[in-house]
Amino acid sequence: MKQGTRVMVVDDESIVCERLMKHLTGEGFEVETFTDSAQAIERLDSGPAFEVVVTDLKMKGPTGLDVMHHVSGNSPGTQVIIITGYASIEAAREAEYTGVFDFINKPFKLETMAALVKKAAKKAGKDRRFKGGGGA
Amino acid sequence: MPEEFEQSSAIAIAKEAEAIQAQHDLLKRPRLSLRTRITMVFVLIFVLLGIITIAAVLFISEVETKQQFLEKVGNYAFEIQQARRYEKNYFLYGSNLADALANVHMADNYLKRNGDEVKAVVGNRRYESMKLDLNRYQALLQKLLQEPPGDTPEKRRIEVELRQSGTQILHDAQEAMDEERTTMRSMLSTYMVTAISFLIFMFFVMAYIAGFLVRSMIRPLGRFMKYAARIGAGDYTPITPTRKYRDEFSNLAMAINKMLSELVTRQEQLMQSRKMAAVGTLTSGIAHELNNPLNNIGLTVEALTDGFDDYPDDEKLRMLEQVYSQVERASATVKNLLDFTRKEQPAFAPLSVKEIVETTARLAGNELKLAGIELDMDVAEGLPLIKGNARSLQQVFLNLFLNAIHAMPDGGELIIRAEAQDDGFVRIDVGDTGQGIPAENIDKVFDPFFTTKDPGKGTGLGLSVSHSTIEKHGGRITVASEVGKGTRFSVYLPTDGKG
Repeated sequence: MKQGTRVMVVDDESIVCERLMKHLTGEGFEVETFTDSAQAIERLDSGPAFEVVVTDLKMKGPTGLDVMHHVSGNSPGTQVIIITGYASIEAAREAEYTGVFDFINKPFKLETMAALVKKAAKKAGKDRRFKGGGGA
Repeated sequence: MPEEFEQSSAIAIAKEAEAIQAQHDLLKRPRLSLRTRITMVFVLIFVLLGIITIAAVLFISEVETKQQFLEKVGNYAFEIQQARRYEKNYFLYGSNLADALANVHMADNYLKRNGDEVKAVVGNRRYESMKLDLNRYQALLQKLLQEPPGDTPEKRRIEVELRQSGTQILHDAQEAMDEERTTMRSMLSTYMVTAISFLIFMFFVMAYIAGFLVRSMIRPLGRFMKYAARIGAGDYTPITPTRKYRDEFSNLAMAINKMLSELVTRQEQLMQSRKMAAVGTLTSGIAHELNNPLNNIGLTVEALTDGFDDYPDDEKLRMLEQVYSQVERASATVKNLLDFTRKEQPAFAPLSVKEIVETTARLAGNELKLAGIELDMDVAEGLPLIKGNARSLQQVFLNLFLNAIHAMPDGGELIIRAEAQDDGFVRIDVGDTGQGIPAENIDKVFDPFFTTKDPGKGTGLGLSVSHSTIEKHGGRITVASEVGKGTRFSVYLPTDGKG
């Protein structure tokens, strides 16, 4: 089921990108990482769609929110996981994050993140509106 | 943060002690209220006017007495003259002497009736001799009446004596009148001189009173205006006595001091609540600044633990180096935090503001050039020395300069001004022509971890550290800003003499 499941990771912390790239690839996902959120948005606008997008919330340049808006505008089936700082998670929950699959706190474990991505990918695969097909 | 709180409560206690001391000093002085003083002045004027009025009344009654005396002596002299006319007629035409006697009798009555007054003017001896003369004249007339008609040697002797006596009596009366007129004239001129002198005297009294009113009202008002300006500028030192006596202005001073201590308390409360808000900002700041490196460390350690054998040795080494660099990143945040809350006092020495500002400007010179910013520096000559720690003040100014430079990414002007103030402070302005700070953020610029810079570009600690450094120097730092026009930070540092 994981074959061909594309995951995008956006975080300006390069170590996060590096670890997630390695771990999620190890779990069988096709992973693309971006430390520059502007480039990630560009990629979302031009290239093939992702099943799952994992993005940090607080970043230099466009924020995780901006990234999410591009996703929901371009590919409605894509599931978004947002990484938040400890203090902002409550505020983030209250804000209008409709269409967010889930939030995850920093610091998080690779294992937890992998499980969350798997769940998100499953939901994306079931979603009929997902235009990329591919799943299940 | 608890240390910060302790420090601020210590300041509050010091301020309170200052206020109590000022209150004590204000009350210690003898009380002489404005009401008492004004009453005293008016009583003095009333007494002076009373004295001059009573003197005038006494004088006028004296003049009247003299006038009456002159009238009476005039009448007396008239009767004598009449008597002498009849006496002359008797000798010339042999007419009746009884009329002359009647006149003399009336003159005698005048003299007796007004004896006391005449005595008071001419003296007892002369009065007696006047009376004797008149009696002698009367006796001579009566003697003449008893003489038989016709010319006798005795009659001729009496005639000579009568003439002498009559002349003497008239002469005496005339003399008394002349003397009295002279006294009256001299009294009138004394009165005129006194009146003019009193006018001049009153002029000086009034000038003194005018001066007194200025001293006790206008001048304190001016002083209180200065106090108001000083308090407006944020100096909450209580008002201390400047004059010898306590009055209504002292009550005003005490009321203002009470208001000041209330203000200080309120400000403390405000500071406290702002600090609590700052603690909130601080917490989320720490969370953000520490969470990222912790997350990086956690992920890397987890990757290594789970798949230790999956990685080649050089990859493991690289990952461990990453862990180490993230530990350093976290510890730098902690160190900044400690710098912010550190309480220890650096050594203070007399310093030249000009030197500090100029050396700091030189440090920022390269940044200025790179950002294409003009430096407009005007530090007044002969500024008084300030008391402080050169290194920490340089850090403050460098921070202000760099902030100003960062606020002008498209170039502009860095404006530095320094001048001495009247209240024992030197004021240093650091201004830029940059984007300015929006009104909603202006109160937060000194809060720790508050920053508008992109993540990773500023910790948000610079200005709060500067703020606490300047406070430790006994000074203060304020900010004024207009969006689109620029921002100006003003640092006030106490001069060396002020302590």
